[in-house]
Amino acid sequence: MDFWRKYLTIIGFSLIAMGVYIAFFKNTPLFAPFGNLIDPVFWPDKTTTEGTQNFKGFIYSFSGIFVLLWGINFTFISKNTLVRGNKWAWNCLALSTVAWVTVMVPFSICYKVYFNAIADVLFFIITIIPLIKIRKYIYA
Amino acid sequence: MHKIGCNILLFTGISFIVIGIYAVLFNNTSLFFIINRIMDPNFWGNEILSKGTLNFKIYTWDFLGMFHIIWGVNLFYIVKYGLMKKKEKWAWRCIVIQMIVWLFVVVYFTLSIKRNTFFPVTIFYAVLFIIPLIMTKDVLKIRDIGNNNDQCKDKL
Repeated sequence: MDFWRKYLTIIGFSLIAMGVYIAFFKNTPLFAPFGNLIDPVFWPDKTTTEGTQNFKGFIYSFSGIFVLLWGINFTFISKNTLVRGNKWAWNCLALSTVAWVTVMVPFSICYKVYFNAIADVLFFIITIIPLIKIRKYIYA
Repeated sequence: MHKIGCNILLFTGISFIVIGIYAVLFNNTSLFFIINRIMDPNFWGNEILSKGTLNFKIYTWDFLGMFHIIWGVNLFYIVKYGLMKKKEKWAWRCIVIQMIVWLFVVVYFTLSIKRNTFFPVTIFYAVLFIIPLIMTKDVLKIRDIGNNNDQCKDKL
């Protein structure tokens, strides 16, 4: 139980780190590995206007903040309340994770952002394993 | 006072869920014209959007909508069970940290991209949190009772 709780806390910290990375490094070469996977899907000829660039910056900033906030929630819940066997804490984390994957994977496939669909499925697998392991303690 | 503050925060969480569902389901429809009318002129003015940009816009609004839903769900659970029922300090601190992060980061980005239209929205979001957080700050005076119901630790 303690191992899986720490595991989930690490996922929370990873989400925080990911959020900071997206929000603050979106316009730097450090973001190129992600940008190079997403941009060609929407702009194969690599031509975007200044307005679109600004919109991209805005969307990535806000997405980064939301990932960061999700990470904060994830960390607090897994660190403080999941260990006490609170069903609501488990439900909250499970519902967030399942809702995210259920909605975003089909959308990503629909818009041909396959990289993101794969990343979401990986995130789901990494997160759902500890939640399944913890479930037997909570719902016993 | 505590209960009113919690109810405002619960309402905020539910509002985020509703806004998120609205953004996910309707961002490509005429029902989204209010948001488009506020947001689009800041970026494109009278420019006609290319198909790629339009698709990117729809896809990323789905993303932002989902993030609103996830945040709303988390906030709802933390307020209802952590803050309202069990009156735990960590729940209050968790929301305060989120509010501070939200406020500082969003103000930073708002100022850095000189899009002052977003500023009132940011302030509105902050007020939605600041007032109920002040009303519920009495949880900090309550002694933690966390270890009394350590069900899982017993099973180890």
